[in-house]
Amino acid sequence: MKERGLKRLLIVLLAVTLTLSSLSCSPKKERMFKRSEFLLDTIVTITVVAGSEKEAGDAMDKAFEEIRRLGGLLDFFSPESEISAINRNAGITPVAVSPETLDLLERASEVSAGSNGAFDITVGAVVSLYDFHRKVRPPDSLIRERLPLVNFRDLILDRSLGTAFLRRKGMTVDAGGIAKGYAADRAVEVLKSAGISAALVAVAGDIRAYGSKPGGKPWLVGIRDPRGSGLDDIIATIPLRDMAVSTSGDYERFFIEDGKRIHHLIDPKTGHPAGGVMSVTVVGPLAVYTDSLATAVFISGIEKGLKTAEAFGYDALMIDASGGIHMTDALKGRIAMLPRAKENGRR
Amino acid sequence: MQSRDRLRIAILAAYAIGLHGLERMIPAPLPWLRFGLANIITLTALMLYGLRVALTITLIRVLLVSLLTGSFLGPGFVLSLGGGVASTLLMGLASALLSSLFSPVGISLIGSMAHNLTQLTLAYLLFIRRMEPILFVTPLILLLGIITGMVNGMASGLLLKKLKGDSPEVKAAAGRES
Amino acid sequence: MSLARETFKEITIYDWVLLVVLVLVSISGSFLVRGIASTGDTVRIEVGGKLIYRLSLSEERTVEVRGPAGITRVEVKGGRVRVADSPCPNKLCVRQGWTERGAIICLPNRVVVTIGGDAEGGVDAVSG
Repeated sequence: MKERGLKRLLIVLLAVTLTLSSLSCSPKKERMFKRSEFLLDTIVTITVVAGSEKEAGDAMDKAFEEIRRLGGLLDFFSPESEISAINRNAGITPVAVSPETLDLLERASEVSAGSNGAFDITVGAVVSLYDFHRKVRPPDSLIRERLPLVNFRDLILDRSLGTAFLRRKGMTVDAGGIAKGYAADRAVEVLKSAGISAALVAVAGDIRAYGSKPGGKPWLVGIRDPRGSGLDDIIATIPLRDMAVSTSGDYERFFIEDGKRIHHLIDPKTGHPAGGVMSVTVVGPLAVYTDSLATAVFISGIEKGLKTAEAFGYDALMIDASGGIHMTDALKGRIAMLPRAKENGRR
Repeated sequence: MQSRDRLRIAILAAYAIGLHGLERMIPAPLPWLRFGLANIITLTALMLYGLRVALTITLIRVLLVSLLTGSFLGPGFVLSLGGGVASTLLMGLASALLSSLFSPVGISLIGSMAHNLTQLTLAYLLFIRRMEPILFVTPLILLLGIITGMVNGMASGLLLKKLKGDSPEVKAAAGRES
Repeated sequence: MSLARETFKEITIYDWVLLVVLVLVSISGSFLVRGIASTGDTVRIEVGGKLIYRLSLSEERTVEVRGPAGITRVEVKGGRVRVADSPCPNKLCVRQGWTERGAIICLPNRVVVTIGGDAEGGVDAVSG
């Protein structure tokens, strides 16, 4: 009677409660973990999405280890690196290199060829004449002397033998303009095989991200204002879905001489800093290309630059010397310019 | 009538304030677990003397406590007032309409829920205009309210029984109300 | 204590029903709320409605904010946040422990800790 009715009511309520609670039971909660280390002469920050601190830590250990290893192979300033071995033997003999180094050099050549020499991994022969710390600019005569030593075509790569050879004595390769992107890509591969579902690897400004943050949101990357006061001054944001982004600018290494900005993005054809552009941001699938193309596009100037990026299937945002914004069509919907960008002028 | 009521109100309000103060003095290992003992007085007064008396006691208690602790017109005062009034009114309603179904325990539960829900709503409207933290903390607060509601209800019931057993006047009054 | 036992017997069936219903609703409510609470990577700490700190959930950090009642200490570690200490009598906020979604409030000290998405231009990294 009343008792049975009550029992039934209680059972129904219990069933409802259990159903409700099971519906809202979420699977293993995923969180974001971030770690930074000083590698490749810069700050490398990795952010992963994982279910536990251990899972995240183990994966990040492996990723940082891979970057460290690549740094060892590619460090221009370390005598034990393969890059140094190639440079020491310029004009002498081919040097055996590991597959990663060869891979990187091949891609560098690819970008050089595709950008008509705007990106050139052998430009070091001329860039080394500049000293951005002591504010030294070489005289034109010295630049002219050294220009013949800048030619990516004189870097001979042999896939079957696994060797790299600089044909002329005095030539150097410096992977600085492409190694960071390469490292970011490799780190991502390591994280993926460690089972991480989503991560963002930032080797200084060369960033590669995949997957989504907890809650399904995409990774959001800011683009630095070339005339801003610091890294937090951003001029635009772009969501990254399985993409890489790199930025090259005339504010990274520079000094002012007689009112003119002398920066580190040297045109391999003239030996002088490329003009007309303040910064270039390239977006696309692989960081090794966004890194090198950012340099190539910068040096090519506005028109040629955008075309070069598109030829590679990548997109670019360019800020010219007067603060004007140019971008490839595909970016127009994806990049969100922050209000300050409109008033950007020469500073 | 009036003077007798006033006397009752004064005494009961004093008890309520006293209970409140006593409760505050207890060094609780769980500082957030307060029973709201003053509500025992409110409920008992409601059952014995009716809504008007109970409501007056509540108002006096909230007012005096806030003046004594210096929180007059502060957020705590507003919440106490809102919660107290809503709870007393709803308990009055419940005891008038549903006293055949519920014992003081049930009425107390209703009062406790009304008290907490009103406070949460007021907190949202007046102080923290973010739905989320309020919703987040609601289940916990309601659960606590259930416990205190039960405890207070049983205490009220006990008190009522004791009082009804004692004076014929109380018995008559109780008879009048139910 | 026969008075107590009598009082206990006076508890009606409807009282019990009400009790059970309320308990079930509260418990299922707590599950529901946990499910819909927003997650994100930014921790916002507001005192009296004013934003004092905006921190990243993924960076380990401890901060202190001052409210009308005293100092509330908030800790971020391992992708989660908690109120480590607060001058409120309830200590409800501290009791909530570590969380990576939703919010924690300390009403007496007017402190609100919310977890949200990359609010207002908060980016995950900067290229440049």
